Amino acid sequence: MQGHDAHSPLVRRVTFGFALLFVMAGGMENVRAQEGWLDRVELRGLIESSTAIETADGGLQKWDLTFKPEVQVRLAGDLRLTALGRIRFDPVDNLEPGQPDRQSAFRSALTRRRFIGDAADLELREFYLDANIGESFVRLGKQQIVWGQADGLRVLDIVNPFDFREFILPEFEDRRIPLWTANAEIPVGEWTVQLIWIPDHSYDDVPDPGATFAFSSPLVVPRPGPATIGAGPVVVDAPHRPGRFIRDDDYGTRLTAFIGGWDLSLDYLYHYQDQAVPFQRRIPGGGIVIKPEYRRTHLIGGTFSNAFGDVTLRGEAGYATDRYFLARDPDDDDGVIKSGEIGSVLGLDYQVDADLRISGQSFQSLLTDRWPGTVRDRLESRATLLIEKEFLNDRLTASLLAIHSLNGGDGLVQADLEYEYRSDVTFKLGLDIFYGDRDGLFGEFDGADRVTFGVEVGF
Amino acid sequence: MNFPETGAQKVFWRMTALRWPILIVGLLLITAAGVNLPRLVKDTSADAFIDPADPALVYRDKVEDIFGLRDPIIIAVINKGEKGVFNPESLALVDWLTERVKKLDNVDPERVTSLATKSNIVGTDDGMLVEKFFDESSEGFKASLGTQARADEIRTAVHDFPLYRGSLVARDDTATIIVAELVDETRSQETYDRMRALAAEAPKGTGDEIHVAGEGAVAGYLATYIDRDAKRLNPLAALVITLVLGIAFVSLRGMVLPNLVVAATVIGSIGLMAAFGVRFYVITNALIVNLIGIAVADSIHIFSQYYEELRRRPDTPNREIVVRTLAAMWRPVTLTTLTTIAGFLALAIASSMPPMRYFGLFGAIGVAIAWIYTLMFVPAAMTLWPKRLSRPFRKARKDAGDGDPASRFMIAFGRQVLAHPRAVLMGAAFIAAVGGIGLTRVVVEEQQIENFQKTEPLYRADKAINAAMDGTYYLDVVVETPNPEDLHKPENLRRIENLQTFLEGLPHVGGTTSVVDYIKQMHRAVNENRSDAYRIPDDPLLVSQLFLLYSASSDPTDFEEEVDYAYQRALVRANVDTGQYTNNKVIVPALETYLAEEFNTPAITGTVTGRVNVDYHWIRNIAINHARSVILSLIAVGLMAALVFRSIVAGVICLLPIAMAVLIIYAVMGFGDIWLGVGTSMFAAIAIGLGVDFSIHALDRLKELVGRHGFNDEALLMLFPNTGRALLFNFIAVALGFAVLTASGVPPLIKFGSLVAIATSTAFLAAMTVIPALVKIAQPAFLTRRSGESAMTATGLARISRLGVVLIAAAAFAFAAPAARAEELPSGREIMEKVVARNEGVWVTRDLRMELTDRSGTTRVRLTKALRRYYGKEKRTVIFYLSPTNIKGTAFLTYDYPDPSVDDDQWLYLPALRKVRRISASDRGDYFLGTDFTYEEIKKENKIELSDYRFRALGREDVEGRATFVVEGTPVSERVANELGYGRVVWRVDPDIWMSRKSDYWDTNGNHLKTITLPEIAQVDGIWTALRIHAVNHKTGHSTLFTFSNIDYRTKISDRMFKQSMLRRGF
Repeated sequence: MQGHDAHSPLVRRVTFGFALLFVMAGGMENVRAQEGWLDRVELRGLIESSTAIETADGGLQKWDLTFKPEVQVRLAGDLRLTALGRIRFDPVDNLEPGQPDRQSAFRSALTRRRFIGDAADLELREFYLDANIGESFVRLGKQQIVWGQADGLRVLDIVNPFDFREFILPEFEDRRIPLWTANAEIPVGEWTVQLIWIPDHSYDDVPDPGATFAFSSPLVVPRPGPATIGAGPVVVDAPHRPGRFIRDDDYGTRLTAFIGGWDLSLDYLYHYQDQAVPFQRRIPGGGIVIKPEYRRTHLIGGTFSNAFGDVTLRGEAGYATDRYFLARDPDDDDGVIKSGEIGSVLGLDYQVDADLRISGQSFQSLLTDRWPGTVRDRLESRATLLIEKEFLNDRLTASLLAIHSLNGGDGLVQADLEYEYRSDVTFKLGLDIFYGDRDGLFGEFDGADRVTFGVEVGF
Repeated sequence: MNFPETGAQKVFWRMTALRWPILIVGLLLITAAGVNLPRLVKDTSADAFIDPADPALVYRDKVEDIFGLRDPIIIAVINKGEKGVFNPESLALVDWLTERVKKLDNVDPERVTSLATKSNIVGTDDGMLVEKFFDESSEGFKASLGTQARADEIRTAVHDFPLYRGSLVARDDTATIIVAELVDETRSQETYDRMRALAAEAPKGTGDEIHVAGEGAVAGYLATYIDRDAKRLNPLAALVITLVLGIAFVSLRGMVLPNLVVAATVIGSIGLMAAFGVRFYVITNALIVNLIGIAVADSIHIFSQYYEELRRRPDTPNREIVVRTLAAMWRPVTLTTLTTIAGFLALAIASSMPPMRYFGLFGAIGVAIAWIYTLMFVPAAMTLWPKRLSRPFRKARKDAGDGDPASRFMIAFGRQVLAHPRAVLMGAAFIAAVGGIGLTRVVVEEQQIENFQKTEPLYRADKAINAAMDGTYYLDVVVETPNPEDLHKPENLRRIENLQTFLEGLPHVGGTTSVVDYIKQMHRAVNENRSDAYRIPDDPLLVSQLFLLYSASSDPTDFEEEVDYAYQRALVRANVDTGQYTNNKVIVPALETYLAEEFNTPAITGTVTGRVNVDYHWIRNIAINHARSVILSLIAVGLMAALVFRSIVAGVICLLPIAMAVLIIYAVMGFGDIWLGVGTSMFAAIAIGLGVDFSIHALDRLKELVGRHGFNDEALLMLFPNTGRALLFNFIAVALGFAVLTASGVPPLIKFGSLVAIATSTAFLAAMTVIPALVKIAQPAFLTRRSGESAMTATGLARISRLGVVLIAAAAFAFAAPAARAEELPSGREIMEKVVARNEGVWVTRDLRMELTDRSGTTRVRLTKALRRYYGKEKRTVIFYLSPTNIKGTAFLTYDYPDPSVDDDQWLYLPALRKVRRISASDRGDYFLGTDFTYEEIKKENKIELSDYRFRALGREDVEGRATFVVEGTPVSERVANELGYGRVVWRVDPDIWMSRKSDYWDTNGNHLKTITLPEIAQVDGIWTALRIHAVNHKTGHSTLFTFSNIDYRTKISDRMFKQSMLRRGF
């Protein structure tokens, strides 16, 4: 672990990081104090320190010092401009050792993060203009669009790509990569029609090999067989991002309505799948080149939810065409197999009493092509259980989330405590445990089990 | 035959023609009043006697809020063995009891104090060690728990901890207590019973005794204790009275009709109390007694006269007999009614205690009801009842040998009186003098514990505990300083220390506790436990460090009963071993003087409070109230008598028997060591109410006799067989009726019964002796003025009566207008319908600031934007959170449908998920996002769902100077109760704006859960709007303040604001 042999640089970096955050926070305070001349500007933000210690050896996994400023400007009429930034400083540098070198392969130029040294990165998280035109609403700019009713499991929540720096451990809000999007919501009778156009060609941001949460599971990382490789080298190219304006853009529409007590939606998205397909090509004379490419797919689906007494029922289902999965045969020609996929989630939330909520979900993914010969099973199932309890007038929140893969028998358990010490200060304590087969999507991170603690200060 | 001849006869003749309507209406009215009875709310608490605005009470309640103090129930473990309670078995028993008590319903588990919950503070090499006495793994105690060695160690530790000596453990080690504070003091009796059951099953060791007492137990139990016996014995009194009536008249009607009048009077006045929302207090039992006596008296005189007429005119038609009876008797009956009403109203006006005010007011109303029924219902019924002469009346009573034994006895009695008038007056003067001496010996005293029988376990427990400990009666001083942490300053702490020294010098003060004791203990602990270090440090920094050090090793809330978290206010508590007023009136003024002259400076002030202070203040009022009410009643009765007889002398003569009765009561109290307390202060009023009848009847009869026959013994003697006989039975009925109460096991009721019997006897005897004797000697001129029906015309009398009625009505109005507002009270449902129908505009936008404060005073603030719009009767509300940053973006949307059977639709937007979550509507009793308001209250905004509750108007109440209707709501079903989280709600609805200014909520177990007040209401755009709403949860100590600003009812709100998509977009 780097933290051990670089003790004094770590201390220096932490000191520097804190100094940086406080200077910035102080600057913000000054700006706020001068609000008088710009009443329409609202400035706020969060300063957060979050430390993770690996349970295996007690070593530091991360020490994120994060500053999230937010500016909101109310312009003429109904126009409103919002900008959210993030400056993150992690002196431990295990999650993304050095500077990740595949940024350009995952993200478009305007969506990329900027790195300052190895430890700090800057990102313009969101930047959009809101306008109301009659009863319609338009949001233009870098934003997050969330579809679907499931928590933690994604069938329809795939409009935005994700950042897997810490796998799926952080909050969704922080993991989703906001995209430059034109988004319009137009009421038509009982329904609201949402139209989205995403000219931003950015996809999932996956950690480089060597990072704590770098993928290694054979479910997602190709392991070509000896027949394929022959005697030669294995060359892995960076994914090739599509770049044509209009032609390579994503398009989607969603219809939502509230009918007879039911919240309903119908969703359609024509987009590039956010995970590149690792096509493999033999090099004559031995060796192999893995050349990941992005492929288009049509997704059509729908959601529903309704409340019955103490229980809320919600679900979503979607059908995606032209999905690619790793072939089971290690010597398959291109290493991947194409199939359609049906995904669905059914969830039940049970409000036991004022402060206790228990929520269970079941997720299924079915490949529609008969006998596709994929590494993954044709039917993949996962179950989640969430228990959330609040204490002391919601001042203290305890939650337990378990995600279990019924196919691999592996999974993840997350236990969290959050204490709102003051309106603007929250303390957090967490435990993340992976278990199961090292080849599983969750089990592969068995060695990354961790205890986290942090404090969040708002202003 | 020219009957009816006189005006009065004509009136009653016409009236008896309407007998059926009168009977039917009369019965209907009783029924109508009766249906209100179930709505009667009992308030048997001692605090009911204090004006709610009394500064002493207000301040005590404030202090209770700050320090969370309530009247506790105390369990004592007493062991007189060699080691006292410091033996393993007794200590285990304390632990066992503490744990069990914590689990009891209605006990606040965080406010149970005993050796098992308290911590020891000792010094160690590296600072200070704070640990529980009963800690298993303890550093400070070497022996393990459950051994004698450990018990010895604990004893040494407690001996080393002056704070606990006397307050927690007896100074001689023979006792230790477990103090349990209650959630709802009105349920203390139930909790007391449970604790007694616990004590019975507890695993006692050798020599262990368990006692349960304490203010909480005494106050709660006393009322029910008295009430229970009164309820049992009052009907018995009615039965005895009926029996006496039976003996007097040997006729069924003579027994049934007076009882009907009694029923009408009691049901009518108590039913009206219920209808007006006036509560049934402990002393209301005495009102019933009074009304029974008065109602019976009127009927006895009517019946006596009826049988007298019947005997004289056996062949006259029944109706004519009845009319003649009424024509003859209406005057004295009306006169006694007027004088009694005057007496009751005087009592009401004189008293500042709500129960006494209502006693007077509804006593007056009851007397009026008795009068109406006696003069209308009784004759109507009598005309229907076939006439039959009652046996005792068959013979004429001219001579001693004639008539029934009662008449003969009265004649013989009269002869003696008239033969020795001077001796009679001398005797009366002597008795009056004795009474006067007795008066000087009357001690104003109230000590609730003395109301219990000496064999009652509670009584014995109280005595045992107060003998062993420093005392369970608390006299508190709240010390306040201007700045936070001022109580770290040594000069302030020394002032408190001096105050404690002063307090400990006061009589019956066994010991004192304050935060200073802790500081001294801690200071000693950090100085190697040297006893010379048991003092206040000189450096304020050291004081704060001591607290810091303490909080490092133990729970800092250990001090919350002694000092507030800002170290700005402290509570100094003196343990007093008696609750006697005679002691309170010494120590409270002494303390007040000390504070004013020696303690208070601009930098630090002390204010007296605590139960002892509250008791002192209101019991002090008893004497003043009592004197005022007696004098006022006497004046009112005397004036009224003077008015009706048109003679000051008549007024004075009328007062004599009453004055005698009052003086005799004083004599009995003075010589019998009966205190003038809450209950006993009523006796004078009762004596006046019951006694004046005797005077008026006697005097009225004498006037008639003297007018007809002049001042001679024969004429005066005629008073005795007829009126005298009626008064005799009146007296026997009432006196025996209340003598029954002496069979009670409850000391106050025994006193009550015997004193009423004595008062009635005295009034009767005085009326039958002093008045004739005085008349014979003084021959007052007003009696010879031509009187009777021939001279004093009906119109003349009527004019006087009317004047009396007008005067009384004016007095009643003057009193009743502010007190009970005798105008009609709408039904609870009507009131709440108006609340629900209150105009809220079609739409409203406003800023809502939420302040969430926990028991320690830490506040969290949320700023939100709240919008609401009606779509027909459907209401949509959306709340956007704007601040603080970590929850900004959270939004809540609800559609509230007019059909209550349709569940509401609700959504919550959580920014961390960026998802709109559908939430179930049946969780409406859940608390909304950490506030003390439920989801239901958030969306209803000071309104409610009518179909959730059954309503009952309880009456009226002033809330911050505004008159309100008090409405009680009970959920229609258990399911609804569970959904709402409430078992009962009481709203105080201001009828000017149809908003509840204050509402109280009880949980489904009956615990007082929370209070919501609307301290600021104003008109915005013409619509009444709450600008601030404050909710306090009494269970958690958490509170929420909503402050509304930028309220706009005019600007239209677009539809899209109430769409789910808007939640995502944010405001």
